[in-house]
Amino acid sequence: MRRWCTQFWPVGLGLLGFIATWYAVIWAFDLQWFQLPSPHVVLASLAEHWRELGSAAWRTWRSASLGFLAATCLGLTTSLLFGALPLVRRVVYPALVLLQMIPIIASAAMVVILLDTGTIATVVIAFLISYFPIMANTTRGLMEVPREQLDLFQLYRARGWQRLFWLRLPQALPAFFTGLHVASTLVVIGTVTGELFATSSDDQGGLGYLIFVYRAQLKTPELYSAALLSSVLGFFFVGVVSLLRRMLLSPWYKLEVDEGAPD
Amino acid sequence: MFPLHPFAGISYSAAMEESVSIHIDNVVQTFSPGTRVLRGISATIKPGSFVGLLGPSGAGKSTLLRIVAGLLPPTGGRIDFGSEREPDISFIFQQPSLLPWLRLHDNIALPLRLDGRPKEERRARASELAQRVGLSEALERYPRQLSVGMQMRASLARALACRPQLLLLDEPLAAVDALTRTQLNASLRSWHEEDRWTALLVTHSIEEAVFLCDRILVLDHGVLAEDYAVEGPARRSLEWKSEAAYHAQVDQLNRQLLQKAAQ
Repeated sequence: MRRWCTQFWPVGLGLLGFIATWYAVIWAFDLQWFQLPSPHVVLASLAEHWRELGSAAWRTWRSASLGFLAATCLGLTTSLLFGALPLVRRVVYPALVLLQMIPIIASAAMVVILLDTGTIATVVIAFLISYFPIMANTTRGLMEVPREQLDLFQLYRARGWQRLFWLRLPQALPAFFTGLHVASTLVVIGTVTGELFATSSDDQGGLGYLIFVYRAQLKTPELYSAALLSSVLGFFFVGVVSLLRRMLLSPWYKLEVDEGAPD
Repeated sequence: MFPLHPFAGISYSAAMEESVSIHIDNVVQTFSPGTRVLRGISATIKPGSFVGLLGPSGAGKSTLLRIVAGLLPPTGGRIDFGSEREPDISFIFQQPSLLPWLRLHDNIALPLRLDGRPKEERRARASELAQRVGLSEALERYPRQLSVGMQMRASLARALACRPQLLLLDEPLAAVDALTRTQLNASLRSWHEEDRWTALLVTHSIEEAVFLCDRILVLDHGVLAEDYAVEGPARRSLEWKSEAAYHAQVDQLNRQLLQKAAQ
């Protein structure tokens, strides 16, 4: 309990500071509720529209999860393919980098033109934003194996698959989790952005769609509630990845960043 | 602390493959135009002998070792082991190079795992070797939970796991403290006396070379500058280090190397 308190009091302090600053800004600039609603107004609106916001958050979570899962599976598979076949990596990787340069808004528009609006389009957009960090980091991890370890496997006449699955893949796990972490911070942003394009009024929209509607209707407290829920969803993905990383890597890999000695 | 003669009463020799000779025939190594690291090295190393490679940094010792291991194809010349089939070679690097995601017993038994040996055999051999190097208590630990000295001992155990015919050592004890180094040297020599693998050791330490080796090849600017036969007892313990004959040979080699450096 004491350790927990020590670890989390800076987070609590930061949160309190943030809320205090929020109130201070409203007071200092004399802002109206439709310009910047107070935190308690946002919470009240969240409670009032909980049913609508909750089901929208569920739909966003579902699209983000499916996209994230697909990106994880395909990102890992592509990286393994690149690890096993360097020629394929040299041919395909630059093309993937080029595709990654397309802004997500443009990708989302293209996906909607191709697939029409709906959940599938949102999932594809969530996939597109998550795929590259996972694939790029895992591929880097697979390539960055210490020479001595490669020499060792060569000396002991390891077969190609042994080198890939018993050396390169475990060696790449920390980098794979770095990719997952980056993707987990992006996936909700991508999904919500995608929902702005990929949801029509006939569809049951996610948080992105609600944000779009609330902005048009000048329902600012509701808009802030939807934004708050998006942020909570983002935390969920980051938390799950952090937990998995801790469970799988912590026995053998140093997770903590050395913060250095105090001055 | 681990025993200096931990295998007393146990004979591994019956299970050992026959050690091999090494015929180094006019080996040349050029890395880029104008960078000739080895300029035609020729030497024959008898089966079961312990040979040291001494010389200043950049003399080509490690390069020659990697060529003998088959990790680097020579630009010219050839290596022959005087046997029809490829010998079983183990390599000990400057760093322990253990796989961080494997527990110690799996690290020690890595060569057997790559060779497709059954789990029971791997565990039995790992336990036997861990006892030999004084790491029986640490078999379930991960490398990051061990000191550098313990990791180096595990690396030695791994090198012996496949019962090598030829053991190549590239400054294996450079990273450990003086006391551990002395103890490991004594162990190395006694294991060699018991198992009779052929050994080729790269070192910067004249004392270490005279204690461990039957013969010392001095490399200088890529050529074989000196071929020195060490006169010492066949079975060596640390007591030999306090004898006048040992010190006389260390002094003599020291003088010869200083003269070469002055030329």
